[in-house]
Amino acid sequence: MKMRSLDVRGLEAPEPLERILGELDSLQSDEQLNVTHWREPLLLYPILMERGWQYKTEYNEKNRTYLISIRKDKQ
Amino acid sequence: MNPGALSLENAPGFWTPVRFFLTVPVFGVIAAGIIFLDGGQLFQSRWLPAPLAVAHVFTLGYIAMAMLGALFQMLPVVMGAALQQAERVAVIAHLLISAGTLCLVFAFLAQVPALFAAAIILLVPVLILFGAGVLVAIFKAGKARTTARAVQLAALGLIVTVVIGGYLASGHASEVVPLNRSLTNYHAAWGVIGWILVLAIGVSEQVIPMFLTTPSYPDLLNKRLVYLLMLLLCAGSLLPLRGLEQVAVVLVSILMLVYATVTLYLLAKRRRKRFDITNWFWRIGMLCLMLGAGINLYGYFGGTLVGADVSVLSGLLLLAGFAVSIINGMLYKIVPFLVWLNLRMPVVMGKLKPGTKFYTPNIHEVINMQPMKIQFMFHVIGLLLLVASVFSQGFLVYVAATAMLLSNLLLLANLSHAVRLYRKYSGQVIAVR
Repeated sequence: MKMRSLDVRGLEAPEPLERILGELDSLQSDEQLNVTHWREPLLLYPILMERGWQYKTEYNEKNRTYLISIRKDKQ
Repeated sequence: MNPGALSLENAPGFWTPVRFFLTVPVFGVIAAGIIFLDGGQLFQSRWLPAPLAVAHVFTLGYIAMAMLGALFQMLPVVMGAALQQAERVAVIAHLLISAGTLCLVFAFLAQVPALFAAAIILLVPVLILFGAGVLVAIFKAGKARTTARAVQLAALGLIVTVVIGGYLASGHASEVVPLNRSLTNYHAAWGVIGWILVLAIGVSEQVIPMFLTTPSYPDLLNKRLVYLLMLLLCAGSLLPLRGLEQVAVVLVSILMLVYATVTLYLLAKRRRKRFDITNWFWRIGMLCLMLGAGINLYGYFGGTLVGADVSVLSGLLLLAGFAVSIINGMLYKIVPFLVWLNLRMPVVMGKLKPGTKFYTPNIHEVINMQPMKIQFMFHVIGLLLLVASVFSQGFLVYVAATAMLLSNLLLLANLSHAVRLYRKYSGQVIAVR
């Protein structure tokens, strides 16, 4: 699985969502997108579900960041 | 898979929060109208009918109206907590609060017991049920993050404020119930600190970094501030010890100063330095919070000002200065965001008919900058002149009320422009749900 990273911290809403969607447009089935975000992107989840993508969110208490891993195939 | 994921069935529609936001400047116009017609007598004492009426136009018609709208949007989108039947609840709550506020305002102005009774019936159940609904929705969502906790505490603050306020109003409505004016300070303290300030802290923790690209609030401040404020509020109002109340008042004032200072510092550290009107509304709001907290403390320990009622001045700074300014700034972020969200989501969700035209607005162009700048100017002029009017009654108050009237009419026009944009383009896309 190839890894692709996207850091959307410090971007003004709704730019993080637009950037993530932009990356997903070109995401291949053997790739995983790892997004680093200050907040949990609750608006993104229904879009991912609608498109049938898998995702997992982890919160890093120390850095106060969310890491959202997104891939097209089933986990 | 995340269990807190938002389902679009639970996502609020465009009008759920926006009907509240569009009503906010209407009550701003009403407040300006009362100040104009009163001609400045209201600054002589907080116990006169006009200042009580204006205070409730601000707290219910302007502040609570905006905060309820914001919560209808933020609960599902930011906290993953869905209010049951949000659209229906929003329509009913909006109607009851609008009608109830008008009843209460006219009840104060005309001193009509029946209107106080009507205001109690219209306002108390809906606000308590809303507060309880928020508490339950966040509890069910199982989120323990700072904003959600702050919103829960603020909902508790709202309930306490409304219970005391309802009891006070029943003293006006009926001769059977004694009018216990000593409770007024607790009603005001729970309203300003337990509801408005705690919610503002919770909301700013999300909104400031999200929309103004600032660093996050310091962890310690973030997690402890709202708990400390509520603890002090409880200690100061529940334990009948004068010394303890004094300590609580001093500490709450210090915490207000700390929150305002940290927010001003964060705003100075924005990652993007592009001119942003919300930034300036929040700066004015924080300066008013500092001044209001300081003057309140000064007045609490017996300080006086020549030609001015200290409690009227601190109330003016905390409500019309702090709360109204930050709400104004927040509306200029959240309304364009809602226009973007509701036009963009059907597109990214693939819910368009093949070949359907769609439009994705640039969030910075939903409301033009120049009209927002002009409105900001009238807001600041109105605020400065209102403060000056507390010291010098007369001609000044009419100019202040006119500036405030124009500020709110412009705010209404600017928000309506965003709504028109949504209406124009929403017809071209198929609704998501």
